[in-house]
Amino acid sequence: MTDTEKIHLLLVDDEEKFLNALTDRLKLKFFDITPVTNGEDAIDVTGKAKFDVAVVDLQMPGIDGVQLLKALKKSHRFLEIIILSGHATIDVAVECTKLGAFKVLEKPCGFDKLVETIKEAYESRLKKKFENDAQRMQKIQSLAFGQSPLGILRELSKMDDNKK
Amino acid sequence: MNQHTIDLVNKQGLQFFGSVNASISHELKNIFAIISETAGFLNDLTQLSKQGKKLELSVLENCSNSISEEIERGFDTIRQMNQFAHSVDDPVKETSIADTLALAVKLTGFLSYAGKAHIQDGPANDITVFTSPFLFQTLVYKTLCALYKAMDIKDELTIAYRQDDPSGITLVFSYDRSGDLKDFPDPKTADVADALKATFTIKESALELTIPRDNDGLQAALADGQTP
Repeated sequence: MTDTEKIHLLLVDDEEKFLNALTDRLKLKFFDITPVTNGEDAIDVTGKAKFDVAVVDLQMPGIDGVQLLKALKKSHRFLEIIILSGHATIDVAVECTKLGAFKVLEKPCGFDKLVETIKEAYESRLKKKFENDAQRMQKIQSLAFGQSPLGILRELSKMDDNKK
Repeated sequence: MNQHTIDLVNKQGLQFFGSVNASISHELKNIFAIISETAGFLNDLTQLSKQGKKLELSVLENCSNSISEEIERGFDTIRQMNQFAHSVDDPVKETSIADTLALAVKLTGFLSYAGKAHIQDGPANDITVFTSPFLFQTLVYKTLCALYKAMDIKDELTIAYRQDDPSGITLVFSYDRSGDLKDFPDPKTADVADALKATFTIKESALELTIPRDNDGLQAALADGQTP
């Protein structure tokens, strides 16, 4: 994997030592990691940089994992989010999946399983983005017929919600 | 203490025991997760070293220190778990205020919403109350939880205790900014307080919990086998 192919990964966990240990290991796997210790910082950094996948701890002070999941999915619809939970009950998994989480993993999960899930989430993001781009292209082509240039621009701006 | 209250306290006691054990297990999971990832990182570095990459001694030292610290944290957590488990050994006994507060602060510290709490040094001679150690622990824990939820996570709580009156001890939980405590105590906490004959006073910058020095009624009820 080259630098340009690196998966941009956001790690959010209030347990700082766990965050650092995981960051150190994932860096060896050629991920581009941004570690943050709370939901507020996570929202802040996603507004400034592009991320492919986020790994989010469920239980955090302030903005918890569920609130962060909702906020990130609202503003970055192609960002895939993996939830790490100390108490991965069926109820938690169902709730997070309904809110758009890619997967809920119980903490501690095996490192290899986490890496595999991150890669799957990245593939899913690429697929969704590709499908969206294809649909967009199709729509642009259909707009090109029978619309004034201004009309086309108006329609395009409606389609350009959030590219992240 | 009527049967209704005794039943509620019994049920609550079990719920409380379960919830504290869940938070302890969560803490232990965190500790194991850190040890697991750090050990895994060391293993990754070893593999890279075999392929010719130079190992940084400082990195190895950091990993080793981190594992040692987490093991110590794990032992501390298990000590607290053990201390909490023994709080049900005696239905009623002379119960140290300082020990109960210290354990409650440590146990609530495992909760994600817990803020910082500082216990002020008490009198030279430890103050005790003759009560149910488990229910008293429950009451102090629930009080701390309510305060943490009401306070901003960055605010700190100061806890002190005094014996103004020979018949009662007052625990004072002071905060800089008063949070929303209008619903405190909730009915469940009020039931526990009722069983212990404890009372709450909410002031602008402090919450006071007063507990009688002796609780003969509780002793009689527990002697009849009416509570755990």
